[in-house]
Amino acid sequence: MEEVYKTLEYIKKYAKEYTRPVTNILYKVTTRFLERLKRARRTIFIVAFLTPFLLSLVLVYGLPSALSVLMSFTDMDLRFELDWSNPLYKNYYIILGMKDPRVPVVTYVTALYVGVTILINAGFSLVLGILTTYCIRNETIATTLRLLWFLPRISPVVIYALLWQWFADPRVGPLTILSKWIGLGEVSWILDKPYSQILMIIVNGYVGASWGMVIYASAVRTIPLEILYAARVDGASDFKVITKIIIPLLKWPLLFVTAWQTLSLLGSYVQILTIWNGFAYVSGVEVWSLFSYHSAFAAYKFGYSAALAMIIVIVSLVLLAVYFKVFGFRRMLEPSRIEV
Amino acid sequence: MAQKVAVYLVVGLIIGLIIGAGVGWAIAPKGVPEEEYKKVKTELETTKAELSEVKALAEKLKALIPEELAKAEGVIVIRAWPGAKAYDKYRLDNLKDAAELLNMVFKAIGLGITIKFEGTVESATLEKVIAAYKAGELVDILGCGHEWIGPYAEAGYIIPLDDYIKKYEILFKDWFPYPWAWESMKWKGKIYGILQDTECRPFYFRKDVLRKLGWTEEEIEALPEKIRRGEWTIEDAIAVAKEAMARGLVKYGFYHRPTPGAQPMFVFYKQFGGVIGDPATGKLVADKSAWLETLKLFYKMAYEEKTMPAMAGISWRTVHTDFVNGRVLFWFGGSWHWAEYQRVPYHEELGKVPEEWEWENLGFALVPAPRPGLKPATNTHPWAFMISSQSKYPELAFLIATIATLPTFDVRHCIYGGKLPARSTTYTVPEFKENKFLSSIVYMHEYTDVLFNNPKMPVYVKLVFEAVTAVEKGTPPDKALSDLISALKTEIGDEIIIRD
Repeated sequence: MEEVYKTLEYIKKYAKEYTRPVTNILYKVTTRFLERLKRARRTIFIVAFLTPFLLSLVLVYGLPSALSVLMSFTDMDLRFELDWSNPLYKNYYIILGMKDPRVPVVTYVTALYVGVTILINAGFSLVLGILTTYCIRNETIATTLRLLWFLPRISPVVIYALLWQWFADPRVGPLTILSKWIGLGEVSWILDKPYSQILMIIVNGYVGASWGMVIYASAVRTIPLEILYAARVDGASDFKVITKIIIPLLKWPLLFVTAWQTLSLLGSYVQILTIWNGFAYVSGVEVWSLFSYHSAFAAYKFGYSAALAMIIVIVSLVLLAVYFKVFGFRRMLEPSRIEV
Repeated sequence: MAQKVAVYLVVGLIIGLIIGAGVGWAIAPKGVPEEEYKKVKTELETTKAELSEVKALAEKLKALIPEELAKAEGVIVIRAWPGAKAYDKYRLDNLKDAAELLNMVFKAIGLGITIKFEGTVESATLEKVIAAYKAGELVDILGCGHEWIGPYAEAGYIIPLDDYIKKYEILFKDWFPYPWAWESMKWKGKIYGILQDTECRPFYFRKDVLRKLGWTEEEIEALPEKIRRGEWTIEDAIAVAKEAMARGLVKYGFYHRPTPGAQPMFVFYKQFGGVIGDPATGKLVADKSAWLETLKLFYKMAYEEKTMPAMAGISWRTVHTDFVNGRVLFWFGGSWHWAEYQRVPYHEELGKVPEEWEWENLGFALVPAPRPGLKPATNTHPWAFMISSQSKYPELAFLIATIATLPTFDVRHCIYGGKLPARSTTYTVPEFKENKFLSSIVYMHEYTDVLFNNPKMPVYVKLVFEAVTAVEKGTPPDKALSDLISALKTEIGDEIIIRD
């Protein structure tokens, strides 16, 4: 680089009068290019650094997503070919126009499922997170408690589902016996609404709670103890410490957990499929993703299923935008104004 | 002196000649007796004739060799996904041995081909078939339930076998004479499958409970026959169930499967005169009146008479444990359960039950007629071998799959897997006849039927199960029927014909 500059300077100095305009231009262009290159170096480095990741993102997520978008405009069936729908938006018309009688029911069930389960996954897990870090000071007990909450997540889905199936078995399940004791009578926690829906929420909430708990727990530990001590010295009760100091400081993890869990709940159906295989709809637990799964792998309407999935994607994006707005995403990314 | 020498010489010469002649006579070959000569000649002629016959036969055999093999040389790889997990291991072994048998024949007639058989225990499931087909890697022989013939044929993954079956007619002489065996292998009039095995769905009953109700041994033993003649119906069964429940002998009268399936939903439907599919168009059929009758029956059994719980959601384990331990009187099961009870410890005291215990306590019959005037019935779910449209040697693959179902091979699969045969002559094999249970359910094949080969059949089965679950929980049958019909229309659409 230095050499080039020297040469340029030399040319500039010794160039004859009549060549001066040309050399001037040459000089300007070259130096500008070199300046740009200098600045671009950083960009090139970033691009080179990110390429492997971006490439896999495009190959593993980008292409299938693009294919799904295409598929949603087709009548794709078992032949697995892109037979364009007529009109092109047919699948969306059927879904959004509620021409499929199952769509309204499935929409309601999904709203109920996501709306209530998120309270457990983002709300109850907050309680757990604070409880196992701030309230219980004995590390052994806290870790044991957290581990217990981890059990449903680390056990394989099929085993987890089988356990619940047994637990809620309409003939011999402890849940059935328990509900008889407390005077609910002969109810089937699998088939009778709203019990089946409550069960669906508990089953999924139990799995999801541990995830939020870990995020919150580690976030609580990053709060400098001095602040907590100072608050206690000033006479704040435990409750005040939690509501006035800990929770406001957990805003970012709270957004993260809520957003993440909403998205994963919208797309989850495995536990429901394994427990209610074959009678999810009559039991009132057929959520949107399960409906999409059934459309693809029971009815072989791959095009229709892709359209259903696309709607979940759009809803997720909208929700994400709403969360960012509500939690003030931009403000949170700015450097803190208060020294903590 | 010279004279003397000459005389000696002459005499010596004469003697020498005489000796020479004698030796010559002694060692000269004797003439063959005419008798022997004739024998040898005939033998030679016969051999010549035989040789030309063999030559002609070899020519004939060579003419029989499929075109695809006539050009081939060296090692031919035939791959298969027969579906041979656990007790179905002979589905794979039979194919392997059939390929070996063909290799021996090829060697004997001097064909320069060896088959290398590569099979796994997997079955031809939808996701795998689609993925493999799109990659151009679909295996030669596909094994799966017959209901997939429709989807796979429609998508062009498998080929019709009518021409091969005609060519090798002799290998199909002992297929079942019943129409269902052929119909289940067809899609829109063409045969796509080779029947691999079958089973049936009996109506099990607890002999010990009937004894406690005061039935004599003769009455109990005569029950299957009474059911077969249509003299004992579901109505009688409900009455007996109510009596047994009232006397506290059982918790419930009936159990049926807790997940979507054919038994007894589609069995009742057929008994009420319902048609599952239309062979001419390949479309499914829903007869409203037959479904209404069926739903009414479930409503009566579960909701009105309380002889059966709503089955959906009850775990399989509970279903089996309750029946094996005598808490349920009647069970709409499957023929494979007989073997399952001997292998899985469902009994709370005995664990795995010995077969003698089963003969003592369990009985089995056809599914009784729903009401007098109708017929008993059952259902079967044939397993099919299909030939991939991407197979390079479809005829060879077809031959291997066909040979693997011949009685010699068929019988060992039946005995080991608790299945019913693919061939009617397998019934006559002594080994099969010795199997008391299998040989005593063989008659059910006359009363059996299959589901229909249409891609949307699983959806139909699922929606029917939803309707049955609804009536069992107390939804009036009319309402459940109208829900079922509207669901069928939206989920299956043009592929189902709805009739009154």
